[in-house]
Amino acid sequence: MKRLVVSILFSALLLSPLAGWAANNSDDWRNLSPKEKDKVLRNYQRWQHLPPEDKEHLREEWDRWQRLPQDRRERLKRRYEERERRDNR
Amino acid sequence: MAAKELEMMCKQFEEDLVLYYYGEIGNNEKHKLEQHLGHCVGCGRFIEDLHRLLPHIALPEELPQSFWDDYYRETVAKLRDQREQKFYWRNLFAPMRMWMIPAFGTAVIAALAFGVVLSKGNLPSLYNQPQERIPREIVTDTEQLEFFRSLDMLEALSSLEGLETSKGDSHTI
Repeated sequence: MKRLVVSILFSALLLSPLAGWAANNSDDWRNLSPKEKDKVLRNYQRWQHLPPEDKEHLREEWDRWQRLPQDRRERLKRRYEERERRDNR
Repeated sequence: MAAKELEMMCKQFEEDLVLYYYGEIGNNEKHKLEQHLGHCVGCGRFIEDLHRLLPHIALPEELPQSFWDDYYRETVAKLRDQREQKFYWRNLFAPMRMWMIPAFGTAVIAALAFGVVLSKGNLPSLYNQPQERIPREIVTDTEQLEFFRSLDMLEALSSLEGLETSKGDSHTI
């Protein structure tokens, strides 16, 4: 019995980093608003049906976006949001 | 009850009187006792009482060997049942191999950890969302999540940059 308890506790200890990793990542998802979640899901479903060359292009754009300086990224983001708002009107 | 009916005798002869009754007394003691009985009324009556009462005391029934065999078997079975009842939980794991127990424990803990982590104590909300609507790669990978969140903007990135450049140029002019 003692050996059983010790082995379970040891296994739990080994799994704890995994649980922490899952907690951090699921937090990102949970912190999104329903509208944002819907957007992510919609984009994901759209992505599934994109041709491979478009996927590749978007991956390259993503890499480029990540290399952009923070202030430029924020500026572009603001501009995009302004345009979105204008188009939705 | 029978003891109350026995006549009082001399205390020092009590044991000898009983042995005398059963004929198990030595000759010397027997002689002394018979001399005493010749003049002691109490001890004489005590002997009379023994003759009167002891034949009525039923001898214990001689039980057959089969009774004792059954008795032994039943006692052993009861002790075994009691022991098994005390450690009944061991029987639950009896069919399992030893390595399966920690493996099962680990699996249960992992399932619980993921359940708690994903739901954060809000299990109904997890059930309300069909699993196929939450792709695992989105939920568990921050970068993927951000990528799909920004997909619309990435598609428009070049045009946005173009706009910014032209706006910058117009400002410069």
